[in-house]
Amino acid sequence: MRSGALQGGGLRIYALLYLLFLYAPILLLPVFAFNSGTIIAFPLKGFTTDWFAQMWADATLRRALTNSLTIAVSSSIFATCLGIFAARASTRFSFRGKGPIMGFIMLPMVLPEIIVAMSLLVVLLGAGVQLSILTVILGHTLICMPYAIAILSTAFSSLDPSLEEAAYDLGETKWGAFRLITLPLVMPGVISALLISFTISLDEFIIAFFLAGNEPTLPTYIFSQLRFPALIPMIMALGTVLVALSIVLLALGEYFRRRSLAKTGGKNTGGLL
Amino acid sequence: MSDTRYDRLDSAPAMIEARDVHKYYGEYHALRGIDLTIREGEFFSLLGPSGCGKTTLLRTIAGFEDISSGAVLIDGKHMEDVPANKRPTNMVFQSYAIFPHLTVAQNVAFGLRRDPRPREEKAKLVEEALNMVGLKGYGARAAHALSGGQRQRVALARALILKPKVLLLDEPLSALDRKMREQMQVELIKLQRQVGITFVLVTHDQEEALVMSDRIAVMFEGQIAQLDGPEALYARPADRRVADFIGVMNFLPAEILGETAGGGVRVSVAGLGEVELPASQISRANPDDDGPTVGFRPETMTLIGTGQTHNQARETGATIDEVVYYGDMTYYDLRLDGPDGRPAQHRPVRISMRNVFGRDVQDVGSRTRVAWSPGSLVLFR
Repeated sequence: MRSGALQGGGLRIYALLYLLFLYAPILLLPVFAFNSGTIIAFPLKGFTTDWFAQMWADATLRRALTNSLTIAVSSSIFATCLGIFAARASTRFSFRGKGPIMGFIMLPMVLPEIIVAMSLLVVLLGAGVQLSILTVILGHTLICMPYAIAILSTAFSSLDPSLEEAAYDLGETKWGAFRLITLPLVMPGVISALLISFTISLDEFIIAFFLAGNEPTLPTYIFSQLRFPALIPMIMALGTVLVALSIVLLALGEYFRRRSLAKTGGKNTGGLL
Repeated sequence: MSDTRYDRLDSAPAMIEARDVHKYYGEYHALRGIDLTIREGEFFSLLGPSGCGKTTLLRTIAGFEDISSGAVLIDGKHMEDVPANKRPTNMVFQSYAIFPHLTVAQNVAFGLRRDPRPREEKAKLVEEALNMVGLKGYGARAAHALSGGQRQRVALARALILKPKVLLLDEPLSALDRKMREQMQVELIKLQRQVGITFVLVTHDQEEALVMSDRIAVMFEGQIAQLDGPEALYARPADRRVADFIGVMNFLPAEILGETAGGGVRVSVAGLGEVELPASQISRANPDDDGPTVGFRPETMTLIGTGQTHNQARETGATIDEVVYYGDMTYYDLRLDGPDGRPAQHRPVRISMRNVFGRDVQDVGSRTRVAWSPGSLVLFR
């Protein structure tokens, strides 16, 4: 009893310290974003929303944001769609060379990103492709797909294969059976895959840095601005917006996942939260 | 057999014909030349241990599996180029495959999606189908909240609403508990007689097959070992595997003494002595049996002194090895006496006796006598 309580106390302190280490820097973002001083240090000077206004007025930043959102939305949709095909194929069918093929598709997850970025750059330049946000979308789709497949495989493999057969048996076409039965049931997985891919793409630096050409994305833009101390409060404001956005996105994703779970009475097969 | 329903079905037109059907999965030969005819309105079972090919055969009829060679005909039409969604068959899956994100009514109405009839008419059909399976008023419920028995009923209603020519049932009762299973067996029989549709049931449960079927095909290793009515299957198994698989059968080593006119044989059976068996009581042995054996069912012998009358021709002395009391029944494991009056060297045989009220069950180790008739023996050679 005593030792259990002691152990619990020790673990609690450890957990608190751990969470503090993890999140305290992020909590500092909004603090300095609203601080009127230009130097990132305590004591705080006064309250201001100037940095947000400055951020909004910055045309390059707006361009970077538009680029990043375009890239993140497109590559998350591509990665998820391709992920659906791959996950369905790998969970439903057995075919020659399935192991190696799936292995190669999942490889970018463990491959150092710098290698992926470099080799893509060499190939794209060699093929005479103009670097643009399109090439970044290509690269991001490649690195997001393994995550999408991992999430979707869980969703597909927890699905009874008879369900689709039953729909087919009842006169639906194969596509109809997939659209009416399988897709609604794996929708929580699809949403999770979209969100994860979106998040990965949004803050990805190396591939964006290598493949974007002259186009800025948020991470490359932020990195380039860190050289100018005067701009740091504005970066803090930008960070605050991004954190708020991620929380909203995650909460939305989790809300849809739980709602669909309640609707189908399915088991909780692991979501984002 | 004397079953009038069976006789009537015998003259019914063929609904499903399988002609020399083979199915390979790579190197694995899953179906090895299946020939069978299932008649219109029949309750037909495919029975066998797991891996015998019964589910594969059902799925080839449904159209979920292509066949490697041979032909499957449903209602006289070749099914080679007809996909599952265009076949006049519907299936009840082992897992029921109820769509969990739909309501009960939406599940049942699923097959009517492509039906051009007006909405009200379809709703009426759904209502009728739910009434038929005893789920009146369940339409608005969420399908995922149903119990196992209710899911099964939804699966039945969903399949039957399309008025298929054949209903295929893949181990539909295996997920239910014993009480529910027995209740559903009777309900399925009634339902089948009511709708008159041909039912093809896959099961590994021999009791279930015997209870429900007009005819049963017993399958081993991708082949049909015997196709018969339940009584014939039980009383005259075509070979020893079938005898082993269906119910309990005792086997005693036997020695062939000579052939008699008309294809019969004279045999000497351990514990029973010499008997003459006609050709109708001779079946095939397993390839790996050492020598011929004679088999009999537990209920064909009568233990003398348990209060039951009998009119069996012969008696043999025996020692009671084990007594298993079941309330209404008692199983006795016996060692039959050899020619010298001492217990013969064979594994104990099991006989079953209905308990008679007020009469004690006999004790382990006591000497007793059993009465039997040569007519209930089957020789496997």
